[in-house]
Amino acid sequence: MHRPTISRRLILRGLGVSLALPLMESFARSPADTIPLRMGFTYIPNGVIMDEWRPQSVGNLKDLPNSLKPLENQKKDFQVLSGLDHTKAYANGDGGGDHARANATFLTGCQAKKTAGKDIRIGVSVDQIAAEAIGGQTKLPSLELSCDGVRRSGKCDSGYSCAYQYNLSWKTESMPMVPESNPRLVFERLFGKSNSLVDRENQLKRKALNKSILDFALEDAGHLSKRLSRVDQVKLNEYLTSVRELEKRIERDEKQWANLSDYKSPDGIPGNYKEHLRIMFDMLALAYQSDSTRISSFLMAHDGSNRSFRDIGVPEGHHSLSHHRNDPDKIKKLARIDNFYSEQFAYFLEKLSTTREIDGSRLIDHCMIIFGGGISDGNRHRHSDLPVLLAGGKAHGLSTGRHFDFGNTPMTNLYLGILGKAGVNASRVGDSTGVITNI
Amino acid sequence: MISSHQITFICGMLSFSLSFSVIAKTTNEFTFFEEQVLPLMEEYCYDCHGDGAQKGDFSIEELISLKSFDDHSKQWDRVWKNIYNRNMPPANVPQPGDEEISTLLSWVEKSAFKHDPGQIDPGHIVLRRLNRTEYENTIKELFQVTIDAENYFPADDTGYGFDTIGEVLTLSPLLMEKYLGMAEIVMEKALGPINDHAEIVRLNANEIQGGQKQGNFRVLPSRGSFNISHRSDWGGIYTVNVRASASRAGKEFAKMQVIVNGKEIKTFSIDSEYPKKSLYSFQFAANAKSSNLISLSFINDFYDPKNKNPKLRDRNLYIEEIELSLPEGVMAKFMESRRRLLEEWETKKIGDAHVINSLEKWIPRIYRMPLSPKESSRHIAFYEKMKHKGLTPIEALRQTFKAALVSPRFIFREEKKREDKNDSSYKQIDEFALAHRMSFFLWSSIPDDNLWRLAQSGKLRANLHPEFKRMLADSKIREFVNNFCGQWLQLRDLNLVNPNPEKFPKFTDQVRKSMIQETQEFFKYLLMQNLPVDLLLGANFSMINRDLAEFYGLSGEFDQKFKKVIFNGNELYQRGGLLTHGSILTITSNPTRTSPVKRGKWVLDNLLAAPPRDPPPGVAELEESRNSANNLTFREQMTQHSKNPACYSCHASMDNLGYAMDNFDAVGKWRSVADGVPVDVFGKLSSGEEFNGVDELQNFLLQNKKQSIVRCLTQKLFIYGLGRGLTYKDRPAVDEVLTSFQKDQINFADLLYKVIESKPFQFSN
Repeated sequence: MHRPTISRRLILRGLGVSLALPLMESFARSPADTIPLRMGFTYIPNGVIMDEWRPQSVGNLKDLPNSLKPLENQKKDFQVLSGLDHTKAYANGDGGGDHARANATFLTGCQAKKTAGKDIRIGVSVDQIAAEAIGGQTKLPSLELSCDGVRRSGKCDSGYSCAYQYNLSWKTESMPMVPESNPRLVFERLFGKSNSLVDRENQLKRKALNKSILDFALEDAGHLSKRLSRVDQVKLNEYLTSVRELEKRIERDEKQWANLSDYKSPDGIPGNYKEHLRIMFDMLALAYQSDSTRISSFLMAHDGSNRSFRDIGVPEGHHSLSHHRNDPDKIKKLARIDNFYSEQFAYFLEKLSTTREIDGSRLIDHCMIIFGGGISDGNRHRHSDLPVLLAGGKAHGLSTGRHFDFGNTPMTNLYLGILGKAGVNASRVGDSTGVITNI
Repeated sequence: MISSHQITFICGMLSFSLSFSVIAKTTNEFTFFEEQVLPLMEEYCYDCHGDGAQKGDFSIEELISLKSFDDHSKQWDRVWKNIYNRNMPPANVPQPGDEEISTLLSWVEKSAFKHDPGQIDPGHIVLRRLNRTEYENTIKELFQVTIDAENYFPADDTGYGFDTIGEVLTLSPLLMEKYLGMAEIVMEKALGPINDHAEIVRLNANEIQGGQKQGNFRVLPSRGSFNISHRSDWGGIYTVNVRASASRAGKEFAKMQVIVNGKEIKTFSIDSEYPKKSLYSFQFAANAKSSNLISLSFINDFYDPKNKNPKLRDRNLYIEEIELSLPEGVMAKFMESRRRLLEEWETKKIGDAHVINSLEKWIPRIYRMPLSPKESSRHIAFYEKMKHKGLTPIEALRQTFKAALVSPRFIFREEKKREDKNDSSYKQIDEFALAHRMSFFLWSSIPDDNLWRLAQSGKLRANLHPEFKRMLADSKIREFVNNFCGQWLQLRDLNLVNPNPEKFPKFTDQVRKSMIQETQEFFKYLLMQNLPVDLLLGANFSMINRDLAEFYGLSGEFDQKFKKVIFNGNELYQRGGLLTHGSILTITSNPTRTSPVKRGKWVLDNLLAAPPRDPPPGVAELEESRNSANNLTFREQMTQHSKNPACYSCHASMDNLGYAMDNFDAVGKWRSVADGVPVDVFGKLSSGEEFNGVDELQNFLLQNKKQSIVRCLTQKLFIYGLGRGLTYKDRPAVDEVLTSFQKDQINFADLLYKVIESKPFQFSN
């Protein structure tokens, strides 16, 4: 397939340090009807106050409820979807640990095997199903981000390994796609790091060398493999899978080469959470815009996070507040946090809607972004009727500006619908029972 | 008592379970249960969990009567853990002796777990990759360079509370990508940049003076110069690369004359026709810390407006970028490191012999075991292959090291077993594997030269204790202190909590750091002095610096250095022992207030290995606060809640442990009044034991729960050091460590050594 190459230099030049996205009229790409459809998943931790989050009535979106108010300007670009459940996030005989499960089930629709370490098992997540099918078309098959750069020590949630609570995306049933939290490193992954002339000239040569290096390492793996037991072989298989992915990536890199001479990459993790969220959204927008990837997931915070939000007058920890036991003061504060997350998401949508594709259409019309969480009522750890918002996709026939209630349907049915829109043929995602086509 | 019907059932069940066993006849087994096990249960368990009693909603009598062990393995697991960890029976009733406990546990293991407790199984450690701490330390030991692995690699997942667990240390494509990138970074730090290419100063069209900007270029349309002034920190020969281009007119190419500090260096004919550009390079000498003026002049302007070919009408000079570098200085900078690896540092002098010697010496260290000649020849062949691609010896070596650093044999910790004539199912690991287990355990790194040589000569096991003592005395032991304590006691989480600064203005980042260090220094002191484990809770001292002394309100002279402070009088009442450390008290609090629940849970999880049962699903965790609506204190709310038996049975133990610590606020400062009410620090367990305040709580734990605490610590050491979770199969090993101490007194370093000596540490399945 011939895809006219896009000069990344053109894109990035316009960005400046503030990472403002440029207009894209000048950008020679394929005709409008082949503009790719991207997908993204953004996770809200600890549930929300549903009364303040969900619109009162179904049908066209009118006045937005308080917690969605920051999204007022984007009202015509998203739909609120109710009645979606993650029944596999319930205990189902496994006891406590609803936060770990909410996190682990969100994109997989599977019941996490309860273990603190041995035999971690869940299921392949929707984004990885997509990445497997269509990820090869871009530099990175998928991009995983998180604002949680460190794991909590000691026990995670009630006997579940932290792997369940800090990863949304699973490439296999036992291998999570560990997310990146440093925006500078994300940027370097997307666009390369080196900017010296000689380095640039050496780049192709280095890629050839790296291929030899990986070949050598694979030979080592072959020798090692003979000495390993069956359980250890599983670990080595992870290695082999990852090396193969890396080889593919090196080959793809040869086709496209980003020139970054004018661009300054972000400095690292900002001290302020809001800024961190925003710069990560910037990275996502950049990744979509430059067509470096079409698939992403973003864990804004792990479920169970006890982060406090002093800037918006909530000094208490989010998780401990979420068990509000109907205390009106706590509910008010929780709604304020929900509002905060919506505000950051609005920033992202704003970016996507002011960025133009080659045919003048807006980037957001070529994206399907889920904004939601694996818990509805945090007080009771409910995993039914989840808070879910689906933004964008107008150019690809998605509805917007409405509130629709699916009434007790697996969340994974929605995922199958999304995969279908993206041209991915999948028969099942986790516990799906059918496809939601009405999106 | 058990009904006859039930006995028939147990009998049948035992015969079923024993069909796998060759040891005993069914009848013997049943007699054993009836004569040996049942009486113990009746004596120690049935008061609360039998004869109709079901405290905590649990009856062991009922459990025994249920249809199958298999379907209730979780309950049996709890029974086993509670007995094993000495959490049941509670401290206020008569305790079974060690032999009685062993009888009970063995019976559960045989019947419920189908495991023969007589068989010692060292277990299998799933192939572990290095975590990011180990990676960083290993690189430091190998190449003596410092990298920032924590910021470069994604976070390691944790299991069983630690980041050393093979099963959860997964290797995603992202991480693989990073391994390759890091290999490059490491080699740059060790050997210098590729092709001795120095750090480069780059100037683009915007940053060059003279001429005018046109697109990506800077152009001189007529005679004139581009000027660059360069501040040279290093003295030596600088290389300058100019990316230039020229439009054409007349017969000549555009000429670019290079003048540095007034002296002509070279004149280039720019043969690259605009907008095509080429690289033009020249060099100049500069003194250290000098300012140098470089000018690039266009000296042959030509204009032919009437030429038929519009492309040949105007001769202009364009430059796009200029970069400066100092190759020589760079090499010198890596002299020491190159000598260490290659015994030679000058690029020109490095030849095959240097490289081959280097590979033979260092690849085994990188792969953590000796290599066969065949294995070594692969690396040499790779080196030759790289040279055939046109690389110099040092560059080919760089690629060979990189290949080793992304090899699974470096990334994963393969362990070889000792050749053994005995045909037993498990074998001793070889001395190299043992050396690495020890060094990763104690240093989170690979062996140093000494330890490596001991393994090489096969004398490590023979010198195990002196070597252990040497390792303990090495400053790298701080890695064990930081990484083990950081996770066992959750000190690392102190970096994640955010106490409300309006409420706790004195909790500064400096205090935060000092708190972590207090506990680390305290632990390190116990370890280095080989003091009794009891002092964890029973110490009358701590390690304090000025920040903490001010924060805690201690009297005396302090500076930034930590020193041992022995508490007296009122200070002793308030401080001394882990449960009075600001670190522990802060990580177990919420941002605005204390949490007796979290504090109690911390004690149960980390000191007693008796994690509370999960809250019933769907039931909200009981969270405490001063409820503004009905103005009840948490304790009053708790009392209300206790009416709900589902919550009460667990919260009673968690919360009461926590109450006793309520003299400390959410950042560990002493208080006697909270929310205007005197703090109530009286705690009472459901089993009837009482304590008033943290002092009595620590005493209570020491006197009644010491066995649990020591066992808990031992288990954590095993988990951390082995990199796997423990099961009932590990009971004999843990017990062996504990019973090897003749006296009641168990000292820290001794305990550590016993873990290293133990079967799971020395053997592999």
